[in-house]
Amino acid sequence: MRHLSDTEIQEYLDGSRAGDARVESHLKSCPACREHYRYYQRLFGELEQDVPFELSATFGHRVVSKIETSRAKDVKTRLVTVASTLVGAAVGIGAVLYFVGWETLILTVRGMGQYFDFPWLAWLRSALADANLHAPLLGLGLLALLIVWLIDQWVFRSKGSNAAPTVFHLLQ
Amino acid sequence: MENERALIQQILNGDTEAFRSLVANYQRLVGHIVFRMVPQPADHEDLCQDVFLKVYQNLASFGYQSKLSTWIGRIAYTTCLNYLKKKRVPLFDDTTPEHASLEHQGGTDDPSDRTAVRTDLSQRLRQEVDGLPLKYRTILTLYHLDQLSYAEIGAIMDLPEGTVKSHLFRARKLLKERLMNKYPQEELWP
Repeated sequence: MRHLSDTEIQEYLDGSRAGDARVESHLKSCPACREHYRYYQRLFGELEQDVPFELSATFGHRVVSKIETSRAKDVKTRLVTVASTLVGAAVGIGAVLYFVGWETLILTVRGMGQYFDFPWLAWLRSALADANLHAPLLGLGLLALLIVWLIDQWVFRSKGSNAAPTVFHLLQ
Repeated sequence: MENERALIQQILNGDTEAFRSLVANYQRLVGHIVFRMVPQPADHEDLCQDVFLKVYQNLASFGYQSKLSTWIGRIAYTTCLNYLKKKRVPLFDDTTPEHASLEHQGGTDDPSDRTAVRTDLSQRLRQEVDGLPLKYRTILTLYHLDQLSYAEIGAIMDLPEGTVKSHLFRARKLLKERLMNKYPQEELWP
């Protein structure tokens, strides 16, 4: 008579050999295997008892407050970075204006106008004029928003701070 | 699964209360992994905290390729492995540390010691489990306490399913043999 192996007994207890007639009849007739089976059965029962570990009652609260602290720091860092980027950009433009001068710049931009002489652009200009809106000012405003948005998305979002608020959240 | 997705979305939108509920849902799983893998009790809570901070920071990259529990379990497992490497604790040796044996801990020749040891079966079993190699005790915990499947344990520990199964069977056999060698059955389970 071949005894049951440890694997067979464990599989029977795990349920993967549930109802296996050979295992069941052997367990009925073999006291040695039955003893191994009972040992395993109790061992399985004990292993399912919970590990006595204790996290402090305020564990969840502490994790969340740590996250909130790091978010607050993150927001400060973002604001400082956005501000310094804008200041940097302003200084750069100022330097260009200082060395090149307004007039040259305007002439260059006007000269470039020929490349952007699209009919829809002329239509847009006249539409804005009809609506009494100052097109260059509006364009600058949109450009500024675009720059801030790009900085926000590219610089900060790429750092993986998924739940940290963007500049737009802060402005809301 | 839908609830899980909604919870994740809330967290990604910056809802810290939603994250608190995620912590409550998974702190048992993380606790089991940390407490079984890391022998220094003083570091357990800090490690659990590190795990949840990593979960928070990386949640946007969770691509629903696995169950959230498996993903969090994997973060907990790798955090513990990194901690143990940093502390230069030998990983994955198949030998049992001698200090884990009760014979070396308790001086069981003294009948009063023997009685004291006999009083707590669960404690004896825990000490024997702690004496098992790291992989074995982690697999035992994930399978028996957290009721995870071989596939889920494999995903957490980066092991093939077949290896998880063979480690699990070997771990239980080893545990049984060690207990049988030390204690007669009637002493363990009167």
